[in-house]
Amino acid sequence: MITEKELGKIRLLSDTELYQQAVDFMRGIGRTLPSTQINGLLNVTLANTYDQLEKFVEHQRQRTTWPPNAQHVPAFYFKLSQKLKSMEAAYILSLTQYRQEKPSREDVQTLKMLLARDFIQHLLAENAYMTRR
Amino acid sequence: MNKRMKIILRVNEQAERFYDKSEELGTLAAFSFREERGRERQQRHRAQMTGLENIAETTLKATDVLDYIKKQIARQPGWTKTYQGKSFGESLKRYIENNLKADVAKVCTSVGIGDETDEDQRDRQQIYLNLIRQFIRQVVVQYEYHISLSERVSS
Repeated sequence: MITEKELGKIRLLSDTELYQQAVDFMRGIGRTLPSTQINGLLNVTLANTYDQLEKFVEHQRQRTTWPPNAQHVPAFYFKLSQKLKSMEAAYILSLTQYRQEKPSREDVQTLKMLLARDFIQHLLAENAYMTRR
Repeated sequence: MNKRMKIILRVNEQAERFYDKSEELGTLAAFSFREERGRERQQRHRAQMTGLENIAETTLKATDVLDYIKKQIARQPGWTKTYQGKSFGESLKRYIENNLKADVAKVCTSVGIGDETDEDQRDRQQIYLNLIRQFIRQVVVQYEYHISLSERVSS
């Protein structure tokens, strides 16, 4: 079970680190994603497990049927897959450091999903902002 | 005086200092949206401002407010319309990201909050959020004032 302390720490990470990382990430991609694509990605984080999110990202990365104006989308998913792994390495241990016992796999997956959801929410906002005239 | 009380006091003091800026941005919002005619459209723009206020009042993260502003800049023409070289959305975003962030440091220095422990970081996050709330409340009040003035003139 996720504790209030862990939720508070995720909110703090979201404000102090994930927001700027998401801005840098989108600027690194250099082009915007179709809003349907990024909204779909956020929906996956809202209604699925972390394992399913990983499968979705992998599936999108390997998809070969992108239209000509969306050839940069697989690169986005490749970078996102790397980013999710680096977030796990950077934050999960510090998030669960106050626990007396080793966290269950289910709790770790939930924490990873909470981090991913916040990061992707920031990506969605920055993606929209990049489309402004 | 305990730390919580000191924070409230210092945030309120800081908020007194951004009255001029909130007046500028409230006026800018009113001008940006004023070309929208008809009761229904004006109500929709009121919804823009109350939406902004609602997100600031209810969220637990400062970046939720910034994300909301960025999405509105992308979706709603009023947020990007320029008046005297300035747009409401960009001006608000920049002020929150730069000036209010700097104000957090001032409040923390005066209360004696550091920058190292988890508790310090949580206090900084709360102060930033409180400053954003105070600022947006003031902007919305100024916007309403200018809208009501222009409505009185036109009626």
